[in-house]
Amino acid sequence: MSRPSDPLSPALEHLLLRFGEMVRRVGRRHDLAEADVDELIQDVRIRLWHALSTGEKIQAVQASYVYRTAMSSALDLIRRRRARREEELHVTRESGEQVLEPSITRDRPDVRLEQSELAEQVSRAVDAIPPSRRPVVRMYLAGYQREEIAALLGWTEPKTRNLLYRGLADLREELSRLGIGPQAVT
Amino acid sequence: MNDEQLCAVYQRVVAERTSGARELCVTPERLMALVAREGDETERLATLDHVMACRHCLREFELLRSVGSAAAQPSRRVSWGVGLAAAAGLLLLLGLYTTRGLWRADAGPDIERGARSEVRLVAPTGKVAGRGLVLTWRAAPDAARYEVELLDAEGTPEFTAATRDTSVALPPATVLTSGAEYRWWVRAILNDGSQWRSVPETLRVAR
Repeated sequence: MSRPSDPLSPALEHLLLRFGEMVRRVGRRHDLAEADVDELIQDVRIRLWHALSTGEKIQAVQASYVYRTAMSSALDLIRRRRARREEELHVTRESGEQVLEPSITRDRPDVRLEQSELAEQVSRAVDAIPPSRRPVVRMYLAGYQREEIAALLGWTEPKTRNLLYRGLADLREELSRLGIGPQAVT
Repeated sequence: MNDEQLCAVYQRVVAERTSGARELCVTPERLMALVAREGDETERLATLDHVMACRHCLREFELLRSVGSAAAQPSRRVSWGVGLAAAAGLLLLLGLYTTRGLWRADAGPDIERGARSEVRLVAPTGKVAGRGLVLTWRAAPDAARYEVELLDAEGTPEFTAATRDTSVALPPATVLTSGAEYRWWVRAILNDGSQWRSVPETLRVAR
């Protein structure tokens, strides 16, 4: 595909690059994959090339249009990957062995048995938290800050804090019941 | 186990959790609804409960969340002159974000980083007129919004405002006292809830 020759294209390209950087910056705390952002920006670029084939249109484009395109691209990227993954799961090796995910093809050292058991117990304890509080606790344990939880759910900070603390108390109570006290080592 | 250790264990659980097909995963549309805060809260919580326990959905969620948050950030000047349009567009973008405040810092910020000044005041400085002032500052990285205060010599707020822009005009009704001294400063509330403060700027109103 050839790129439209337009003097304003560099500006659009600049906006795209800058937007990509902003996405990276927001996602960095939570290990957003660089590859995801690269693929997304490339997809947005292609969409813009298709949609804004003329210089006049490029001149008229607003940043908001680019951002809307990015959201739409992100959603489609997810759909495409899921579809691809479904296909991959149906692929089998010549031996007939199912293709496994990399994480489970690696041997886990025996020495990690204890850690695995602890992880399993924590997992079970989280499952036992009442559903009204569990998502908040999961999000916190996944590394999100209270402010991010509040923003995502549209809750006030006090409400978020209250549910989170109660949920964490539930979790600790359940862990104690399972025999995991403060001395447990990860 | 303290919170940090709990988080580490939990994140390991999620990272190492293996799954084959994703029949039980939430749909991309539900992920989007979660990020956009659309639809029934109970359903969104159920979606979140799954997402935070599924490394595949978590990765997808983070992509959507990051794009949404980045798009919602205050616009810097766009080189081909659509800066203002972009700012307006950001407010319109996924109206769901703006009106429902996806990135709005409802929460009281915990961290205030006053030692370093990442918010630089541009104008006015020094001697000024008593009316028609436009307070302008440089954009702070990752700022979700700014809070502006203009205080009189006693420290009483003469004018306060919250904005996503990097300038704000004093309303015509606000007339500063001739010969008096004022100070103004800006606090940037970042997307992660932390804050940056500018160094206060002193103004003296011309007689």
